[in-house]
Amino acid sequence: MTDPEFRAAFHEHKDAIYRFAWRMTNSAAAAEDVAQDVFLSLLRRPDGFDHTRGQLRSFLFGVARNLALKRWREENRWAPLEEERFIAEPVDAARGETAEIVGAAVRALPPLQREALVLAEYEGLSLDEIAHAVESEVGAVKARLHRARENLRRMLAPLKESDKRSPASHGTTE
Amino acid sequence: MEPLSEKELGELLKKWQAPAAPPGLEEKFFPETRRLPWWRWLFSGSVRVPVPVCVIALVILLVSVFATTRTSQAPEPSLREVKFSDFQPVKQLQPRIIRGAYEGN
Repeated sequence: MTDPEFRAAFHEHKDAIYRFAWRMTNSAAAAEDVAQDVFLSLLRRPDGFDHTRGQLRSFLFGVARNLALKRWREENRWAPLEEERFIAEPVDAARGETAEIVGAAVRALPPLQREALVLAEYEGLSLDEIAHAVESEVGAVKARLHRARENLRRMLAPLKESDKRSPASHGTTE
Repeated sequence: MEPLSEKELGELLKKWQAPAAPPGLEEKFFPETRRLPWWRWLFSGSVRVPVPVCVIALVILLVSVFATTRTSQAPEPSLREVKFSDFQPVKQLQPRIIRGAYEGN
């Protein structure tokens, strides 16, 4: 990979990779570290990316995903990555602003559901691209995404009730 | 409690926005993009000078240094301070008589 190619790749994907890492790690410092390591790995081992197997975007998200999961694993040594019996507790709608509550609900999802949801909802990846990034089957990704959405629909239901009662009670951080 | 519809969920998810990558990330890979205060440039800045200009400036410097050294090496008359004690009587007189031409014959 030549220097101009690396620059172009960096400028095209840096924000998306950082956003993804930020949503997965819930920390600006950790997200910056993850994003830095993603582009360092591209710089040091450009042969790691095989353009015949998929897009660069999916490859970079895959590296970021592995790094974020590694960090998560260090903090949650015995917790399973995918919880079939994950109990979606409804959020407390009076606890803060809507954006914070939504963020907390997404972060509460099991990591494999969360990464599928973030890549699909926030980064606009197709099921094929997500499957390539997370090194999984399309069917498995589809099932995780479905479970993630189901869980969030239940978890965030109090926001709907709260909005019905007082539409202007919740602001956003945007 | 009734779960959200897909549309309602989509609208809520949009409210959780992530920040863009901080400038520090780019500066780690491309240090030239770092924005320094102007006064820091006085300590760490650099100026690109074309080689011909550099050679001409070097030649002028060498010539001026050489000319300055030559001027400083020229002998200067030594001005020694003369004291009154330096004036001593002559130890041995050696008179020399010089006759004028008109005294000849």
